[in-house]
Amino acid sequence: MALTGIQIYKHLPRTNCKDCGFPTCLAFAMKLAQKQAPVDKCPHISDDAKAVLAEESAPPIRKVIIGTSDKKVTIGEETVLFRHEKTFVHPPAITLQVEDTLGADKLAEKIKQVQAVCFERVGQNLRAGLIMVKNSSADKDKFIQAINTVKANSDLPLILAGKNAANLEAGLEILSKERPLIHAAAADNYEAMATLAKKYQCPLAVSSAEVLEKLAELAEKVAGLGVKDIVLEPVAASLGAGLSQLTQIRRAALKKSAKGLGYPVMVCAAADTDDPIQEALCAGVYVMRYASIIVLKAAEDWQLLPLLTLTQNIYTDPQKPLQVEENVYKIG
Amino acid sequence: MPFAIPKERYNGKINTVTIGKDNTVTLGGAGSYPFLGFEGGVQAGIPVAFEIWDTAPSDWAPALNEIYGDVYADPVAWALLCQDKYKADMVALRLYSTHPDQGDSSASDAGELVKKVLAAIKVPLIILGANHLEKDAEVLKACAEAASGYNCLLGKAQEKNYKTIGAAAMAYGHYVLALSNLDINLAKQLNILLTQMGVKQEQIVMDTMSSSLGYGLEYSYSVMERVRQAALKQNDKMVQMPIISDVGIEAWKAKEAKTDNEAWGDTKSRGILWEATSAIGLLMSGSDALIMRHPQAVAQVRKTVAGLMAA
Repeated sequence: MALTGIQIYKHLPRTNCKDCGFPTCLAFAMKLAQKQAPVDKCPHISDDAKAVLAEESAPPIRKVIIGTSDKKVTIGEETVLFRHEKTFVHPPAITLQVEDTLGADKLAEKIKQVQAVCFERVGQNLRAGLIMVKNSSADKDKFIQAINTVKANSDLPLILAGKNAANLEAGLEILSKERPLIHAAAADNYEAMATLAKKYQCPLAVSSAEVLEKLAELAEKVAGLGVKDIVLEPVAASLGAGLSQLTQIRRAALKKSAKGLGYPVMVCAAADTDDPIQEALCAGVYVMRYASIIVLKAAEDWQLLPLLTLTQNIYTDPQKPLQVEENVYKIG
Repeated sequence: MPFAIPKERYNGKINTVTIGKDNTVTLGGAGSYPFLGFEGGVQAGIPVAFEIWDTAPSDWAPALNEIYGDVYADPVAWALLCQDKYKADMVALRLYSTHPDQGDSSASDAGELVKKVLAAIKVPLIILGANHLEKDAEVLKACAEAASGYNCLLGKAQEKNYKTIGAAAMAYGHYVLALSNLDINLAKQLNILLTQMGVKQEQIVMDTMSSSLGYGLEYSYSVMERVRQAALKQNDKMVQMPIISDVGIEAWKAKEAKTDNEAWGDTKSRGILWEATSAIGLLMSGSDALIMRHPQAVAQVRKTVAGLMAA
């Protein structure tokens, strides 16, 4: 919730010196409240006050970019709980998870298949957004091999997932210019992960299966180490628990009622099932409620068409309904 | 600052509506936005009605024909199949052939069929007209009498025919399914008109228009969220009726649900997922009950609902 003019005024020197170009501190405060003047215009404001005001005027949910090519994925910057209040901003990236324990041929086949998915609907091209490569083998060479296979068959941005920092670093060396998302900082390794994120200038997922307060604390610690581009991953025991957590995070971020939650959120659609229909439906729940990255284990054409259509429907701006562009089209 | 779990404060609740005679089914009762268990007030369950017709459909998808083909010609057998094999919570009988363009079968024939179906099944019955304003009024009047004592849900009452349908419901002890066109004020207005003529608030179920995935879902979704906001936060009694979504008929119209297309993958799985995703989208928007077609779509939706209701 943005600060009012009066609330901002309390942080100003209140000397009415006019150095900012406005007649009184209250006038300047009103301009700040409407975002019509930068806070730097006041040469006498204390550093503490500056920090408070900067934080208050920061967008509630940080913008995070994954990838660097024209397929890069932008998430965050959301401002509402309900689409009808204004609009949702960045549709979630539907993400295929692959493990480096899969043989090279099978892996290549899977990647080619998800890379080829592209549905044209009402003038938009609907595709999967990201590929998550998991170091399930815990072996460095297998991880490198898998990453190279993925790169050779797809141009989608990546999430590099693993528990071993050295293996992750080897992967980051290959992708050094491509800004993958690093998965993930947990309570027992966040310092090493933060170091990687800073070294390679990559966004970092922060993951916790504990209560939200612990996730928030962990994110704050990671932010305190200098990592700004964070993606939260609450790990829930059930779909209902996941829904509750994502709802609470969105509310807390928008109300700024808890530090450490002002970031986009990633979820695994259905870690506990291999049924592709059920997984797609769980993913659908998260499309409707606040997820920015949704990880699937399977991504067949027939699954992605309904899921991507749902994403398109929910993420249209109510003020600007999608329309086919007026034109003369050739039939046949 | 101390960590505070943001809990919504609600000032109203969704009504409960219980239909049926010996085996009853309750719709509604939510005290929070959909499935937010941590705020309490999640409804007891999401009842699902299986849709059957009074005549054999000629253009249903192959995936549906393979399930129901053998019973298309016999609505009673069709109803029993849904109840016994697929565990329908309710049966929704759509009197499609009463439409003047689809056979124009008579209101009294419809009434006779309703009697037969009610004699055979145990689960509650939803009786749906063919969506022709004048004919529906006549048909539902006859069916209301035929179904007297069975506490059915009659639908759909619309702005131009609610008087007859409302009166029939009151006379024979049934519930009214009120259909409005994607607008919270139109939904409210219809409920006000019904209550003003004597239908009780607790006798009304709403359909604010159930659009399919890919064909207007976002309109239903935003209207329903607004309706729920008004009902739960502003305690607006004129929109606290439970909502039932007519998913099957809309979802299976989509070409994506039934047309073979190599780029779109397996047609049967795609159709099931198209119907199930439409249903989940509407449940997350605030729907309290569903009318569906494919048993596998129903099974998958039930599984997802169970996951949503788990803590």
